[in-house]
Amino acid sequence: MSASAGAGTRLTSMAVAARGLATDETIEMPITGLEPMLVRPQPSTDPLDALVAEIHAREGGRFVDELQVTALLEAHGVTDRTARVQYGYQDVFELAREARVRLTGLAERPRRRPGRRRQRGQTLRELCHGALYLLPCVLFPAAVAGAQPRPLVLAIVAAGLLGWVWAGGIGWLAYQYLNAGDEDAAGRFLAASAVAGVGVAAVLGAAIAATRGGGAAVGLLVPAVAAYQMASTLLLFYRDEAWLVALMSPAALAGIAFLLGDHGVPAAAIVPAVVSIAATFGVAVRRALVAGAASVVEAGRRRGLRAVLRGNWLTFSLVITHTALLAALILLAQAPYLTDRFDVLVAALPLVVSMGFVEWRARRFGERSRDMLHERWGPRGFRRRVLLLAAANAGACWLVAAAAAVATLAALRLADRLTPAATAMAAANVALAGACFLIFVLAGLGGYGRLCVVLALALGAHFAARPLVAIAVAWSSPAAALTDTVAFLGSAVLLVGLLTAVLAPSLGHVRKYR
Amino acid sequence: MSEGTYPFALGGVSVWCDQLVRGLPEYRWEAVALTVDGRERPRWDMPANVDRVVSIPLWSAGGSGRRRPRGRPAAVFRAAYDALLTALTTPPEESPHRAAVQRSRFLLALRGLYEFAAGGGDLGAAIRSNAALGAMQDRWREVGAALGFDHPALAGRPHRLTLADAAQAATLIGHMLRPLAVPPVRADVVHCAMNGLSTLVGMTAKWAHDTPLLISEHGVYLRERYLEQVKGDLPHAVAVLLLGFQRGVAGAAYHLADALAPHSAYNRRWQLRNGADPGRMWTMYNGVAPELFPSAKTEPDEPTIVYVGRIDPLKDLHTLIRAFALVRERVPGARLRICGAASDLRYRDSCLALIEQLGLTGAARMEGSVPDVVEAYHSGNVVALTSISEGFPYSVVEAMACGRTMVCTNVGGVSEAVGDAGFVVAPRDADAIADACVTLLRDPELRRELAAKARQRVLDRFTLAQSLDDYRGLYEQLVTPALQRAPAGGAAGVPRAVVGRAAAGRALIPHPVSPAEANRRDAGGLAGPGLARGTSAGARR
Repeated sequence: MSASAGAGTRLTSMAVAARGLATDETIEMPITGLEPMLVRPQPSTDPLDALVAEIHAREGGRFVDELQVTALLEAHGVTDRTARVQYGYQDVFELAREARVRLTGLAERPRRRPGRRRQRGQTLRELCHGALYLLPCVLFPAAVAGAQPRPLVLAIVAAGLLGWVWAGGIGWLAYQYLNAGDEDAAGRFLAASAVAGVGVAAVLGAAIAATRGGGAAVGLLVPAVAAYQMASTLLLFYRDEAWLVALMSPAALAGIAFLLGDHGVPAAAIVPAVVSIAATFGVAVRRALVAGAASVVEAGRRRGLRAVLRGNWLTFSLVITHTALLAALILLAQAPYLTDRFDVLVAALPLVVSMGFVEWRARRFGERSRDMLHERWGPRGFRRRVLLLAAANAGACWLVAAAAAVATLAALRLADRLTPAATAMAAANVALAGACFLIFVLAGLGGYGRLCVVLALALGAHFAARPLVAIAVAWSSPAAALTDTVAFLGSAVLLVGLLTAVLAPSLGHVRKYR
Repeated sequence: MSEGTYPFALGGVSVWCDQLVRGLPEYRWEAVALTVDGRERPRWDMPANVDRVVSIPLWSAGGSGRRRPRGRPAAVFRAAYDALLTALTTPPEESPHRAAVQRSRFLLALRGLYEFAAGGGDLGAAIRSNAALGAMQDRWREVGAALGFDHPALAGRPHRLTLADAAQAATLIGHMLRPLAVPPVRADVVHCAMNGLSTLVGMTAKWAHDTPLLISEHGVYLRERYLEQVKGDLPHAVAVLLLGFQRGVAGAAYHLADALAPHSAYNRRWQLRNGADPGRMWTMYNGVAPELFPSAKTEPDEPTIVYVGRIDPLKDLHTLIRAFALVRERVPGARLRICGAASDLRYRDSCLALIEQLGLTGAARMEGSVPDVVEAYHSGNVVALTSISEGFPYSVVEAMACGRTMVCTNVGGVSEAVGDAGFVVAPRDADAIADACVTLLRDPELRRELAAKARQRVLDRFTLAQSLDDYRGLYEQLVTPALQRAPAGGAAGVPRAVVGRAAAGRALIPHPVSPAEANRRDAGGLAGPGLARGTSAGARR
């Protein structure tokens, strides 16, 4: 039964029921006449209704104005003559004006913008990034046991810097390929540049071993750490963190066993680590090649590296520079303590373990700020809210890092290894957690140039402030570590201040959120 | 850009530009092209009378790099942008008088934005600033409140404009306004090959140097922008603003142009509707050189239908393929050759999929770009064109010159070209197209009769020489007042013409028109001997 027939039946029964209650004057009213009069209109004989129904079925009912309907009618073969002869309007323009009015009556309500799907899997993956960034450390205790301290420190810093910058550069370029619609080239580029990066690291390791000593352990450490960083970059790019965890687990277990097992044979930790890293690297490269080969790219969209970089050289240079500066800021602060100050080194953990949280909040900030553009606010309201959102997220990053710092310092205290230098280092890393969030936000808004400036200032401040701190605070032994970590804390706080200063004016600019 | 033509793209408009530049060697030219990002390579060899090619990239990254001025220039921007926003958010006026006022205001707004850019302002950044976005939201709401949100003209519009929509619209409009920030061309005539964004180049030359502006329209620019957005993926509010902008630019250009040359009488309707002055309009048909398109002596062995043109949704090849499926049922062994480069690869793939789906693989072939279009026309018994929007398509005139009978859809100036020398049916009507094709394929006598008529029609009405004469006469008329005042921009005695959107150039007028002759022509509404094909009243000879 059709809806109108059903409604007619209901009306009739209501009328019958009403008759029983009605006064004599209304009893004589015919019941049957109600149905066609109220619920069953005569079928339209206007040919325009049929035309409107056809257009609505084919194109929907939302048109900008009558000129758009005119264009559409002409594209369907309606001419001025047709408009006059078949529809009785002066021309197509007049016909379209009436058609639009009728089409609007048929238009569906605009669908609400679909909300973001909950991405618990992605959140969990991001939260585990901090632990993944810690994994290369499994090599260090065994390497320390088997190599001279100075070349080893140099090798670790060199490997960290090279891997960090290389990974940042190739990741950015791969996203440029993706933006150009060429996933195939992105995969091939990632695979080739990861292999090249490990090659460069091998040469660098050999050079350090040859010039500064350290032997095979140093020669192997640099390419191994670089290979891990390349592999993790590729697998994180393709959201395959599970592979990374699975393949690196043996290395982690061996490293922990070495650490807890009274420092046995270094090879017992190094061999599983090297095997795990090699396997992870192989899987990551294959993953990139497979992803590239699986994509379908239109012939005209294939682009070479030169085409990708055309017009983007400055941005690429700034990406590389700010990555190098950030890596230098963090690694150079930790380097002096790699071999003999376990307490200060461990105090750097809050930043590393909270980095996954920082990445997650940075992504959510980007999503939420873009979502806010679809809400009812004007630019002022948007600016106010986006500033609050940034402040809340930076605060959350600080809180999480602070919790990690408290736990770390408590552990050190339990082990009776807590020192002022370690406390200063932990505080600096807490400050850096919020700074990293602000760095991600500023990079997301395209402020690479400003990032380079503030990171360079913070890096310079760290080294420039050491003598000043030493003079200003006449601490006794161990002054070197304490003045250095306090200076580092000062540079981290300065970085937060500078980032806030450069970010605050542009954070509320709607045009930055594309 | 999709609108980019000569010398960076192939297609009918580019063919016409090249014909014009080569066919008028006594003029010197500059080619000005709006491009996507400036990386495009010329697809045409530049003749010796083209002095330079200027590319104005609309969509490249980055802005003008100018600083945001404070003080008066910012006030100039606010006033101009406010007027522009009023025009963008207000629906088309029904009253011709009020519509004219709306166009004038839009033109003034464009001029204000040009002056802001000329004074060192960064137009793109200003339009995307928070203040400008807030003004857009405010104006959207105010127009809705003033008209009433239930006003029929506002049907379907959301009551509020979100920041996301405002930012998207402002970004697009900011890119499209880039020609206003380019130093104006110096020439004696600016000749735009179509309406739309390219006319911004002509407007700046007119404001800066009082250069006459001539606009040729092959199709109807505005209509094609509207059609693009029927299935477009822009949010509705953004489409409203964007098409309001396109409508405003088109109307402003009609308002400002010294002469308008529609390439078919049918398209005049849209132009008149959007403010073109009939006293400044002359219908100019495209022409071909008949010697380059000789009449076919023989017919193919198999019944063959040929399409020659771009592979593009506007050509509606789906309908042609569906019609061919019907033809195959009635004329077994029939063939369909689709010749032309794809401007839309996804659309090409959809055509291939349809051919396969309808079981036409082998019988219907997409052959891509062909080296010899004459051979392509000659290879068919019938040439088909099933577009949903056209100007005055070359492929029709060329095929007719080649002695081939056309089956076309009734869009733009197609019926004026074909006349009684072929079949003109409704667009998107596969049955009608199939009927016409079958009739022709089954009746060789009718084919021969219509083919002869077609060739003769081209010789009588649509030759290149006639077209060039028309334009030569129009240029002379346009520069005559300037010669009487002072050379416009260029050195004295070296008059120049600019054909833009595509072409700009320097014209050395061989036979300056005498003041008496100029007066006579002025009195006659510019209906000089070279313009006999069209009159100010729009009637055709």
